[in-house]
Amino acid sequence: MADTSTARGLAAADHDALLGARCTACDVQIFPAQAACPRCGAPTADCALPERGVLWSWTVQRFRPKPPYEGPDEFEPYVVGYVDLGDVKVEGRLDGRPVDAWTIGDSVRLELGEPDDDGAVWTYRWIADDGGAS
Amino acid sequence: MSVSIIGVGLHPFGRFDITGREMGLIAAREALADAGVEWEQVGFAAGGSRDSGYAAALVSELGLTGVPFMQVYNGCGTAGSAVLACAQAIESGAAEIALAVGFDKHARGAFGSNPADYGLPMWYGRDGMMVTTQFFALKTQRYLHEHGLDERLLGEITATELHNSSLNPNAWRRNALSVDEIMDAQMVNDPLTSYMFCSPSEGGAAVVLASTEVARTISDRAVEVRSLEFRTRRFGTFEVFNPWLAAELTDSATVDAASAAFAAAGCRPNDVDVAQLQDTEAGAALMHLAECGFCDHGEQAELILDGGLGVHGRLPVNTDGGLIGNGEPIGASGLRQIVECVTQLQGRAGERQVPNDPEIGFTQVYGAPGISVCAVLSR
Ligand SMILES: [Zn+2]
Repeated sequence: MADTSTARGLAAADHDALLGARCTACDVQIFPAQAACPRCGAPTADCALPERGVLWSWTVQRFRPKPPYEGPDEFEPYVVGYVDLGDVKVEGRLDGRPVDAWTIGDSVRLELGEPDDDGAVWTYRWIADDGGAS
Repeated sequence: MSVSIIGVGLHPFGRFDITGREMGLIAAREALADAGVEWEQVGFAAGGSRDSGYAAALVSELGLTGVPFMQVYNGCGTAGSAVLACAQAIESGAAEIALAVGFDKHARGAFGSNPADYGLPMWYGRDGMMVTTQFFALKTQRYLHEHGLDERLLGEITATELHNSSLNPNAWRRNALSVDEIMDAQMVNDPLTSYMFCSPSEGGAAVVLASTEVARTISDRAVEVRSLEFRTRRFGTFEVFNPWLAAELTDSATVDAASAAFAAAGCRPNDVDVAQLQDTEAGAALMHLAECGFCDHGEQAELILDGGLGVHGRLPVNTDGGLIGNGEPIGASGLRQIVECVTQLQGRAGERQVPNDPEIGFTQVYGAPGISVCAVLSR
């Protein structure tokens, strides 16, 4: 059974993909990884998620959220979206393009944040993948 | 159901100098007076608030009669759950007359949320994704895209609601705005501008219910609760605070609750003369028109354009201004919808009265985390 302790971070072991999980009974894919399937309750197994996907929806966050948001003192609007990875859609911050230049269907690729002192990754961004725009 | 509403009470929604609890008390007393019954006659009560204390503590001022008072907190479904508890107490024979009350008083600005309370990891909040308005925008953006709908419909819905609230002395937002003013206002979360959102506010609302048999002996204007259905989300719906969504999305709890409510009432969306729908923001109202069965997905323009949702339109919706015009005191909001529907069906809505003696009303609540309460009411 998957270890669900959050201390291991968001990234798969080799730090090149997000760590999700797949249900061993009904095959549903989820993110982040958790031990039990939210659909049927069966155990899940960890899996690395695809590093490329297609923008499914997006919005611009134009006001500073309340805590626990920890952004820079000087607030800059940022983009949040869901990225369709095929078997699951993953929410995340989008980057690499002006905030109002996004369109549903845009191709994006994953960029993981720097690991902390314990080697765990806690942030990720979906970056405009202009090589393969659809 | 063999349950009727015999009295309604409302403390105006907005910002006031009294406590949420006092607003609940005012609404409860008004509902009792409207019904013409004494608190001593009430055999069951239910109510709730998010931020204004224990509803059951109202007994210390209503009277310590020993009445069973069930306290509920169920997010945006708090008021609907209170009404459901009352209706079921009456149907079961446990009580002949029941009181449902809801009230609240929230701080200004969007609700802040702690990831741990939702079983979510801390990074989700730290990175700025734990924001309710963001969720509404993401869902609306996708819906407009999928069904080829024009953003301007969001402005049309908002303008209709603000026009209605400008006519409603109990509403918070009393200034009507044009579609252009709404569309050109500050963008909050694209495609939703500041006027398209409801804000946390204050208010209280209450209804007195009785068995239909008893109601006939007390009131000549009782409104029958034809059905009242409460559902929670199934796997695969698109809800607030979700780091991921399923590959295949499922219909929301509103679809389940609305279709069950119409089936139980023995009527169709077509038969509805006045509806109060959850409009936490304009996109929600847009989606709920289809989810409740008033039109097909993507066909909203036919309903909305040319004042179709107005008081004199094809389907009068949110005739008191809805959440956009009244704000959302969570404990009271669903009861406000029922109070407005009853007021309309009784022909007491003044300047915002739906013409031609409306007979069938519908109310729909939707909220976190994926719950819906729908009711069909009739004269
Ligand atoms: Zn499963």
